[in-house]
Amino acid sequence: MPPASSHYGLRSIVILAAIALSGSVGADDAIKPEDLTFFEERIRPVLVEHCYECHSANSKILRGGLLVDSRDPFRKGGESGPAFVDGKPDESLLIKSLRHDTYEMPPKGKLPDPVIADFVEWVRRGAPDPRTTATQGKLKPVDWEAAAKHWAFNPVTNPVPPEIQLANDRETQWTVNPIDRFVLSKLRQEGFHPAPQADKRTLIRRATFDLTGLPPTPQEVDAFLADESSDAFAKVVDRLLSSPHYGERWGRHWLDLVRYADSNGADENHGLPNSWRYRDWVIRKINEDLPLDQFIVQQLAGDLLPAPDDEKAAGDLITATGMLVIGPKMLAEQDKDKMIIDIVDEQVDNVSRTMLGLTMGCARCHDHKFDPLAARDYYALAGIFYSTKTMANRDFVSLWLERPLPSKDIEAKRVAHQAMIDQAKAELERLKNASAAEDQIKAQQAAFEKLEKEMPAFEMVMSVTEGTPTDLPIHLRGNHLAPGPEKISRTMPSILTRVLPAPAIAAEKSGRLEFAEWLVSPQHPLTSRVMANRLWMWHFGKPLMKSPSNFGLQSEPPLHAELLDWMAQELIRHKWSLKEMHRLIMLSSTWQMSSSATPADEERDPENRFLRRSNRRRLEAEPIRDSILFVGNQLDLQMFGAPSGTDTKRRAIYVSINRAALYEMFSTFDYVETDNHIEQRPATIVPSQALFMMNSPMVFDSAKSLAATVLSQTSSAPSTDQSPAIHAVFERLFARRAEPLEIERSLKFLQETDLLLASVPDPAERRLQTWSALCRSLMASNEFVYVD
Amino acid sequence: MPAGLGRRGMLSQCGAGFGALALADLLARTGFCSDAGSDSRHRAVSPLAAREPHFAPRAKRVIFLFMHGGPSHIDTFDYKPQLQERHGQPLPFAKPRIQFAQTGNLLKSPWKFRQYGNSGAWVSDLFPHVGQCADDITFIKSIHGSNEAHGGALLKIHTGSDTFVRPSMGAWISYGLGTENENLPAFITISPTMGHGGVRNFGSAFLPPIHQATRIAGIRKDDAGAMIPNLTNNAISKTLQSQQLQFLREMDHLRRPGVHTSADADLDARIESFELAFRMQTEAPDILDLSAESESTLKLYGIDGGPTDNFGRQCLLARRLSESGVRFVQVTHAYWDQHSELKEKHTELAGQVDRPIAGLLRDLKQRGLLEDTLLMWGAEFGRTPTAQGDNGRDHNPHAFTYWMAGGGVKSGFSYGSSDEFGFYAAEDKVHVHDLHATILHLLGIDHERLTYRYGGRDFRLTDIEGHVVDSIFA
Repeated sequence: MPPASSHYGLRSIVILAAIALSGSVGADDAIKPEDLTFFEERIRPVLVEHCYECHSANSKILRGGLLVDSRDPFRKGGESGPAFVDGKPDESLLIKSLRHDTYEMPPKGKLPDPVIADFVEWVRRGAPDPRTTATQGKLKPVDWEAAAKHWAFNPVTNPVPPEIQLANDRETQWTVNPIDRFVLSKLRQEGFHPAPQADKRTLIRRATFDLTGLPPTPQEVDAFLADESSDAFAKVVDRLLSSPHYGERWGRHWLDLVRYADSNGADENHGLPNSWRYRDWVIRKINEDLPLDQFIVQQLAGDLLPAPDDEKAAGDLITATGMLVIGPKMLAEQDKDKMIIDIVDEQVDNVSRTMLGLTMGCARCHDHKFDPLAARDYYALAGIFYSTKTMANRDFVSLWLERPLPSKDIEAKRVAHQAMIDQAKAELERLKNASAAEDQIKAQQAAFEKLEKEMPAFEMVMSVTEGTPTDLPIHLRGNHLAPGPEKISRTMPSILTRVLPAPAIAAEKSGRLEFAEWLVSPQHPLTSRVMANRLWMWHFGKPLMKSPSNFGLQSEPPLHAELLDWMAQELIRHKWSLKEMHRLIMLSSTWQMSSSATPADEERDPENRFLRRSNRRRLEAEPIRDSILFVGNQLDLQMFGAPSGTDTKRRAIYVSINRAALYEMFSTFDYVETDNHIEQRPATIVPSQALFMMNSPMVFDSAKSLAATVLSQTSSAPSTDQSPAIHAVFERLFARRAEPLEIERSLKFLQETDLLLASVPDPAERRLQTWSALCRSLMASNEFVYVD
Repeated sequence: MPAGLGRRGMLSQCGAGFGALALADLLARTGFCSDAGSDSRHRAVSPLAAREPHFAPRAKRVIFLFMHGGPSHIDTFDYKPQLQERHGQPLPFAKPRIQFAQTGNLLKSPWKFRQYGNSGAWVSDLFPHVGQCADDITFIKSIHGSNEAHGGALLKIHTGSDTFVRPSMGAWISYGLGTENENLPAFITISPTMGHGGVRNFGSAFLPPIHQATRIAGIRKDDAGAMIPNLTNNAISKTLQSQQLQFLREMDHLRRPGVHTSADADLDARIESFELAFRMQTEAPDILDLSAESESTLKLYGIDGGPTDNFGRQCLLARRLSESGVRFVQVTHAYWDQHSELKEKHTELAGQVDRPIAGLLRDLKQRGLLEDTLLMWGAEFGRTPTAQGDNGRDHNPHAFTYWMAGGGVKSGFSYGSSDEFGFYAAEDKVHVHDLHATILHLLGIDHERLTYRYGGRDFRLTDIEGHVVDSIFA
């Protein structure tokens, strides 16, 4: 089905303006010789010199859709409308622009007055122009018919896990769930074999980092090793899923998508003192396994859902919408209309990338260059957010919206407190009227003022609310001062409404709730795919679809397209439960493979696209930091609440994210981008990371603490066997015991270091320093920061 | 040449002591987003290794002296006799649609202007030392931007966008050219402002994080010393540290014996990054240490305990980093935001920077570095010719002045002009995008070809704008 014809209607205006059409020039168009001379001598050279750079078929970039190198397109004008009014120079956009009345053309500086006078004369004569040879337009519009066939814009298919003939017992055992059938079928086509199952120590370490972002403790490892039941690993997964630290790990993934921070960044880096309440909401809801569809709807439109009686639940729905408010905003932008539309743009960009896997933001200034997303689609969606109130005011440095959390308790306290204030005030009046002693009046005044200050405050959360429902016009080239002629009704992107019709948006509503509910419809072609792909990425280190926030035409079709669709359907079948999906994935043989590889297979499939093995992956900044503290028994596991400074021992998710001055350790380990949606964390290897592991006080302190613990728990005499202590360090750091050669080399290191530190007189202190050096070196190892 | 090594000496010394092949190999593998993102086009290319520019460069590196707050162009380098004459009269044309603050009538400059050198450049008495260098300078007096608030304007100057999150120009240049010295970052910012965009002004946005600036603080007189995070520790000896690294390497080998596949590349590279870090911590402190500089050099920069001391140190450090091969060094001086007390504050601030800036320019020149080092001075905007109160000026993004020296620009030259009062850029206007395009061009980069693919689109420092102002090229 082609896009709605009205859609084409608007596009055609732009395209007609942008692309030269071959004009048929009949005899009527014959130019008088004197006009021809005038044009060739006075007009054409000026156009060539001053205008062609940006307004000809050979321009590298065509500006404003205006071509001036041939007659008909010039007459048609560009995005701003016709260039001339025949015979009326003063009303012609061309002349106004040359005079710098409207646009300032040429932008480098006004042409000399006599030249402008020539153009006035030329337009007065009717702009005679001999250049009838059609020039070829450069802009190729997106082919909507073809784009409509793009897999990701069509309904999620319902693939059946491949029925494959299992060649042997090993394969039969291997295919424990449908994921494995999809994977094995592809492996077979290429003649690959799945890597063997990872050993139990690797598995529990992988699982613990995967679900909590922390390493397992030696006790947890021992318990798992001792459990020989067939569902031992399932029990581990269940235990981790019920850990409160699960929400800290998976909440952080979500916070990456929605560019969480504790300060505004942008131009005025004000603190966002209540941002953390949204962060806590995310952690809690992930822990509660709030179904992902509701999780999304509440963040987009929680304030519009029926308010529950329970005030905590009612407050949660408001808190959820903080997602829309926490983005960076140009608070001191003095063009407040621009400020507002930029905030709307930020929301559209973030929501479309996060939920839809589409780069809608590109269509703000022009129709999307690669995807079937017209400027019209953008402004239809932007209207929804424009009709939503995000800012509390338009002051010089403007303030974002915060709303009180409902609390009967605080309300009652406020009423009671008001009574006290009233009473104090009455007493003050009485004293004044009675001409009491000045001291007495002063004291009462102070008491009254103190009471006023002590009025119990509501807890505030960042939140949106409904604004004035408004349809936006297209802003030409994204410029809010250049609105197009037509208001665009608020609705969803048309390439998607072909598959899932947009719900009607009543005139008095923003459409936010309608948009949110449309997003999570089981028939939506993108949301479940986008989310399933992200789940896969966070479990495997690499997504099934390579560009997790761009499912558009530029994206590479996934090798495991059927698996992706099956996962998307499975997410819906499991009622959008993340925890069910974790179980499904982690209990598959695919997830449990080891990372071992043969050179020949690596050569053929260097990116492991076929899922032959597990992907070894470097931990992100937060788990690295948390692990360093954790192994030294220094991590403070207290959850929730206002963010802490960078010297805190709490988990990284509670470290204040200051957009203007990010914690150095975070940026060193690739958590750099706090302003934007992060689709996937980079994993660079740079010397500053090595410097951190070599020299940072955090590593020093934690290594020392680990050394002290190990030495106190094992035999303290240097003459006795050191290997138990070495094993203890290894178990703490790597969830495994040291190999004999590793013991040998470690002993050598301890001896050498002991010699180097001979000047340290106290043997106990020397021993501690020696073992600290061992722990530090091992914490610097690859094994500590990679998950196999 | 004073104590310390010249640039070439420094580079050759850095080259000694480790295998060039191993380094090349390491650089080919480290630093890039090995696992991230959908954009694989640049994966195989090292972001650190020096890269060939698009065409023969005029400049190899940049020092950007950024005057945070917005010094008044019409009180420094853009002389407006009309302003003196029409003092107290209303501006005879319309003020901009959006203004940061309301201003009144025209306010004459409190400073005298005089002409310098053969070029006869007009410079106010705020900058007598820089004035004496006028014959080495190209002034661009028609710069214009779009944002009237500090934050937006800073972001515009640094990243080209006050609307979207974009990499800063230093990050683009690092990405485009790599570094001349692999033991140092390619992009360093000294004492940056953390407000008004903060890290975004020297961040890498969607470019690989390695291209973000390394911040150096602590260079001021009373500070403990210039700091790169975690560069040193006082707790253990170099010998112990080197023993630890040896242990690290051997333990890694025990863990991963045998043939390494491509799947091991990251782990190999990480082990080597420790070697690189070890070398960096050996070399960088020497560069950050100004004590080896001669008496006369310190004097040249005004490092004498007086008001020029702090900025002098920063300028001298900039030279040392630049001659050691750092591609883009920014030095920030604050805070030139005189809505009031224009006369007093501008006098004080100019007094802090005039001598150090002239000292830096002369020092670069006498060392032969000016030939291929672009020295650039400017701010996020200029100020209004109309008065705020009776001794202040408001922000003015519609016309302001940048100047450049060395790096292949003309000497004793002036380009473009603002209107007769300095409110709007008038002739040969140079937009911020044009400035960026021109800087890249001087470095041998075609601003339309320096692109990075992100989210399905190729991005540029100049977005879809930018004209190279080749009239200023020598």
